Amino acid sequence: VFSLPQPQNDALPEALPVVNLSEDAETLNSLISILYPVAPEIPLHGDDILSLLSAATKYDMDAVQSFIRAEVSRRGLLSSSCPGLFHVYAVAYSKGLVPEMATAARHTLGHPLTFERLGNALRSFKGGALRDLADFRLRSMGNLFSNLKPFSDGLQGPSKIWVGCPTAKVGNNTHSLPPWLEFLYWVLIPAHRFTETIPTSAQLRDRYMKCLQSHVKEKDCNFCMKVHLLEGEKYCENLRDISTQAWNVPAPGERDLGL
Amino acid sequence: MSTAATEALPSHPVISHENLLFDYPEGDVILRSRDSYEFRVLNTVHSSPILGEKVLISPTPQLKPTSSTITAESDVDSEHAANAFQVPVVQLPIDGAILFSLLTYIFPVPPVLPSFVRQVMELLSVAQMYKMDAVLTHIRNHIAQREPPFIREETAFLIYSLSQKHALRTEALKAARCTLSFSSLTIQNLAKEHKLNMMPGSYLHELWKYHQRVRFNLTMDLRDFKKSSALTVLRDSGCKSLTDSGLPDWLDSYISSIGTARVPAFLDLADFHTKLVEHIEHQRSNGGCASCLGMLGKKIRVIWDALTVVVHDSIEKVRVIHVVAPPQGPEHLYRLRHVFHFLLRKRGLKVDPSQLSLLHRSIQICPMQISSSGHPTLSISMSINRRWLLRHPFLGMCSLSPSPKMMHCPKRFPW
Repeated sequence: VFSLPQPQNDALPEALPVVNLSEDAETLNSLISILYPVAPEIPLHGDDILSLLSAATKYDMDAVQSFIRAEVSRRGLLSSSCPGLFHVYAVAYSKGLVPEMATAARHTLGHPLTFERLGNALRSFKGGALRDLADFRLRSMGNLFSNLKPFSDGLQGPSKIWVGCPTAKVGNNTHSLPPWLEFLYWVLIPAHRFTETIPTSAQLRDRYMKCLQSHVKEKDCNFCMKVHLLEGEKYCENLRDISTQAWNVPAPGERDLGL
Repeated sequence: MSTAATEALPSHPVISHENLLFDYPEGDVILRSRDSYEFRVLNTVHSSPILGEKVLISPTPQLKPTSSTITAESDVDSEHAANAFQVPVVQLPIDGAILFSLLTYIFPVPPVLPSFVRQVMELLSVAQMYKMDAVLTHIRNHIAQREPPFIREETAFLIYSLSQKHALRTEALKAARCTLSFSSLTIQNLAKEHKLNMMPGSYLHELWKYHQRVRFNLTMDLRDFKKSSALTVLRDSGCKSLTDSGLPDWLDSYISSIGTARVPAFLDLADFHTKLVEHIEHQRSNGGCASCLGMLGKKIRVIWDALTVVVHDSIEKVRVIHVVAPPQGPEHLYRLRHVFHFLLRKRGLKVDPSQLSLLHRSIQICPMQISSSGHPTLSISMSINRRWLLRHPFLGMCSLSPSPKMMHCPKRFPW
């Protein structure tokens, strides 16, 4: 900071040197409060938090960054709900704050990416922020699709345990899956529309359970009930992995860093 | 075209598009572009009050030779060359290609419109910036004659974005209207067409709002249209499938569908005919629909004309809002004279503003939490954003005073 070019201060020879910084007072106040042994002041508003992080990054204050991030995470200060989430992503993107950008981008997977959902948050998007978010969601959707396709294969994939359900289509194809499972997969593959949501592993398990329960209740299907009791847990674990992988594709910024 | 400056011109300029040469031998001012092209012209005061002012306040004639553009490439005699040493030089923040083009619209020479969309938009922006109203009109008229149209499917998004950037409302509105007819404006579609990073989010947001407003307007106007006298030719229709509005269902649904999926800037008559023919075909098994069949001809033309007028007027009513960047107000510097202790390391700082605007003249106290060091700092300076001063707790806690006298904070700050 003190190596920054200093203005001439001829008018007040007795005064201390003046260092002009581009940050606003609130950011500097918070930054100083973290540097000195006083009660640290972490801003409560998302934009102010990101400005503070940006300043700490700019001045290479690694420990301060870690402290802020830990506090923000502990107190849940950055919005993870819509549309604040999109705003956080856009502001973090414009400030080059990769961890915040990546976290927010991942959280957006749980919300549709539409103008309606973005609302006024769209105004915060600058440069390639929207394109990169779309690309990320497209990659995530692609990952989900590419993993789900072999998974749902009744011949060789983990889904073959369900082949044999009496409600499955009979005919030439002896590896047909029961309709409730086909429905589950069909819902999960929304024609590569990255603007749709990608279910979390918990949501995926919930959907599976609902489909299965409804099927067993309606058809009194002992076969599927037995398969679930014997192999359902393992099957669900595989299903959850698919979602986790889709959510964990490199987010904007992480790709550039090779994370 | 603003040709006031060109009345009774002593001679024609020497111009060359390839070399960006524009030289009036009798020119009395040199305009220098950002990329150092120099154009000797007649004083352009009359075409632009702002440019005129720049010429008036330009430094005294420079006694150094002008650029090689003039001395080397123009066909000027020694007398002209001598003049070039004495005319004032006005530095302008414009690229040479744009300035050259602008001059062709100011002086009586064949106008040269730049080839690229970005340059054309910059030209318009410069003409607008210098308040060259007549020149702006001239350029717009020239653009309107272009074939293919300047604003079309391939260029509309870019032109809309550049229009917002340069605050060119006319072009922004035209481009926004153009996007109505070919885009349903979804993020999915924009991504597919690689248009997501074509403009900042604020511009895109306004474009989306524009589409929404057009849709809303259309829905309202078409609802009224269905009840209007314009469709009386169809009342008491003998069509067997009439809706509650008294219109044949195919026509009712056609009108209702306008603007639902995408908003067409221009209705397609072929589409309209297709719907009618489909209806007639469909009714054939039930003995046909003589009533709707009878519409073919004059009646259908009357309906079509009325419908297109409603749609056109409805779209025309909606404007594009120019997106203004958030103000980046100056940071104000306050000098903190003394630090005095509150309880438990809470401190207030008496502030002596060293640079006060009128807005801040009343605010004399600024609180700040600083180091717990036992040695009070003699002087600390901090910059304060004006918006910050209006926030809690400052708004409620600081005394406001019209005099620049120092004041104390009346309360403890809740830290």
